[in-house]
Amino acid sequence: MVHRLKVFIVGVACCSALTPWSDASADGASTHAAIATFHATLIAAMQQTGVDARENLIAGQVQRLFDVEGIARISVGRTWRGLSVDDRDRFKRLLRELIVATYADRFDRFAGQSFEMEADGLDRDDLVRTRLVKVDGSSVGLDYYLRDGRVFNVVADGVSDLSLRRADYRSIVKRQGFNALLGHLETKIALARSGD
Amino acid sequence: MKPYGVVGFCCCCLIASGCTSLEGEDYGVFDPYETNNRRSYDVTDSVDRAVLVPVARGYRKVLPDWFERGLSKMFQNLRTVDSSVNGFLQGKPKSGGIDFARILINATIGVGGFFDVASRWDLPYQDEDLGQTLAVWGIKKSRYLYVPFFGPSTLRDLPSDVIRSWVPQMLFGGDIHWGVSVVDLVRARAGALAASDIRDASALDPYAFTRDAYFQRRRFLIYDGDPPLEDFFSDFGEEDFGEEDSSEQDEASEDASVEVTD
Repeated sequence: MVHRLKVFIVGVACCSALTPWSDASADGASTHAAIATFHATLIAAMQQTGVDARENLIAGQVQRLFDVEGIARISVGRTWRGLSVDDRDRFKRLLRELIVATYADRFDRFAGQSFEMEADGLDRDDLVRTRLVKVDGSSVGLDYYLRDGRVFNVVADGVSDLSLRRADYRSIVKRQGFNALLGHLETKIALARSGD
Repeated sequence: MKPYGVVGFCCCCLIASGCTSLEGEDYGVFDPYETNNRRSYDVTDSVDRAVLVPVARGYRKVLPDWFERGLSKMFQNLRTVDSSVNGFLQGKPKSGGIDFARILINATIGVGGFFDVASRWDLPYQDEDLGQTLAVWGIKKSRYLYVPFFGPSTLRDLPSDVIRSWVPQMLFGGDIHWGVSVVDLVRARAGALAASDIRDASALDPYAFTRDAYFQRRRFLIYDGDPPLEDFFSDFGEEDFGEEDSSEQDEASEDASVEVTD
């Protein structure tokens, strides 16, 4: 599918004016550069000791790169529309903290890992395909989905972080209510921070 | 379980899967038995935490990484027979052929599959199974089942899971297969420790989290690691990014989505 899409894009580029193609390439290059910077930050964070140091490194990148509001909206769906501004702000803040704390917890020790960009989709500005390669040669595919230059979903070997979040959060809201969701998020943040 | 028992059970599941195949045309979450599935999940999770997880952690601690990897590769090699057959059944002769070559190479040069020589020769494991074959043949949307002491599955995938768990008995027979099956179970649980640790760290509702992860993973495998992107974006819908005062139509479409996914 991606291959066919790529062939289609190349065909369109060859048959029509070059300007849109050039713009797309430029956007594709900038999104790939942004993801590469994020990966460099994760590698640097893995070499830090202490969750605070890792969080300090990662927090700025998450703030710049991730569309936390988009993630928040999708995660709770229709519930979002009935939330007060304060509730929305609190939810977004907790979500941002959870994303940072989760990255800091999972990328907690450097053992020769590296990130590689997949050649497939280099011209796209809405998808960046990468791989996390471990020192034993095994790897995990990490696909970043972007909207307006910001990441709203990360798919690891076919499992979408946003889809999991959506299923998880909506289930809690439906069964226990929105305030319970906020309470669960606070618990998970504390759990991730105590991981050292 | 006797061979005819396995065949009979699989036939029943296949007939039931066939009867329910018209319930939907995508691979989305479909969980009409959620109440019973949640009960099953709770019981299985308690046993898992009390028995299997400690044993799996011990197994991981005692065995050196290289031995653990080799053992996992041996069991993977046994199941490559199933993968190869299903590659052909899905009309993918190249996939079936690669797996067939893997069996021959790894069983001989790879010392019974302990060393994965085939992967080094650019013949990667294709990871096909009967559930994927049935999906390719048209049984797309299938009822979710959390089978007690077995784990997540669907009516469509269950025959495949049963066949795969029956492989040691089929190959080793006699009393020895029980020992092999136990090693296989512990090995598989040890391999899933990282995933269950992520679930424990991230999931607010572990049942919903596990269910969604299962359906996503199956979709990924059915599409051989390249699921269509269009489906992915339409799953979330434009209204989720839109302004607050969305139309009635948006509300209706989201209700439908919640009905299926929740």
